[in-house]
Amino acid sequence: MIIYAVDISRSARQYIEFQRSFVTQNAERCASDHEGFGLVVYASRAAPVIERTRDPRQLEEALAGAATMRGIPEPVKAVKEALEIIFYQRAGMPAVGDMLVLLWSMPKKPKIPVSYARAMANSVGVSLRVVGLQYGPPKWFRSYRYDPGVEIIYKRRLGESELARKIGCGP
Amino acid sequence: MPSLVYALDISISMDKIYSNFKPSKLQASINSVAISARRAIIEEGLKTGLVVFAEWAVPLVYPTRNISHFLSALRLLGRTFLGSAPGDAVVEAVKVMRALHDHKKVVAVITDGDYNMGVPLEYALSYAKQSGVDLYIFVIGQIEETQLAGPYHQYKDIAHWVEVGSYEDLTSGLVKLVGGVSR
Repeated sequence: MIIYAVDISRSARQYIEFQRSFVTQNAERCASDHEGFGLVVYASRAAPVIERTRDPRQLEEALAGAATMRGIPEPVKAVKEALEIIFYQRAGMPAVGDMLVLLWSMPKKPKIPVSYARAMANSVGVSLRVVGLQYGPPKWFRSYRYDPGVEIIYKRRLGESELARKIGCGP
Repeated sequence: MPSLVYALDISISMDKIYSNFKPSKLQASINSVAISARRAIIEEGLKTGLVVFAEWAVPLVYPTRNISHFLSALRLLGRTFLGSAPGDAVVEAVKVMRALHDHKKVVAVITDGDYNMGVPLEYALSYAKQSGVDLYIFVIGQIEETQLAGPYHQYKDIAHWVEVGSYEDLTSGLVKLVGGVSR
């Protein structure tokens, strides 16, 4: 299964429509490879929205309201929620090919190191794709000498079709 | 098969030296956890997980028998953070074991007892008990001198409270726990 973690912080307001269409299109493309899709939304907190659906349109509908949430986005909290879904849907035994796609607006340094996300996903055997919604590493990476510890695929550098190809449907 | 989850305090106070916890309580605790996790996973075949906590709590390693995943997650640790929410850590540790059908589930909290935020420990202890999880709380230093003294007196019987005065105490306590869990 694929779980999408969508950044709905105020700083991601301009990217919400993009995230909605990206998630829907990716799920449609991967529908034959995966048994289902899940959705988590997050800012400084995270919440599960869809635990499992086979219908990509349900993801689109869930994101139609374009509601936002206050706070600096904390990707690790989103990863935790998403892995909980996978972990319980799979009764503690995630399947090969399960994937988590995290979309992140990267406005400021999160409180919890993003490098934790990789360790969390690894321990469950889930592959993690992190999409940075910016052109490249933001300024605060340099000012804090921040090492995210995960590969970030920058959306604006690649363009939408190349991004879709790079995310793919799994390992 | 039993499973074990460590809940390790990575709050700022863990940056300090205590007794022979050197170069810091955190680094020494990381070593102790690494030693006992090796034993748990390699020798006893236990599913072993790790939750870290400061003002938040995160399951860094879901219960696994993959020692390299566990140790590489431990290598990410070293920085400390504001706040300390051991109640949240207990809740997260119990939650990661919910999906497992193991007959024995154990959580080992390692903290210096600096407790100042999050879910009140009292509720977290009850949640662990209701979920059938055995809870061991290793407190670096004397419990009476920490903010855990209140919950300790009130809920002495719900959890196993272990005072550790030295690095060796903690390491041998955790290793002994692994032996007890797998028996």
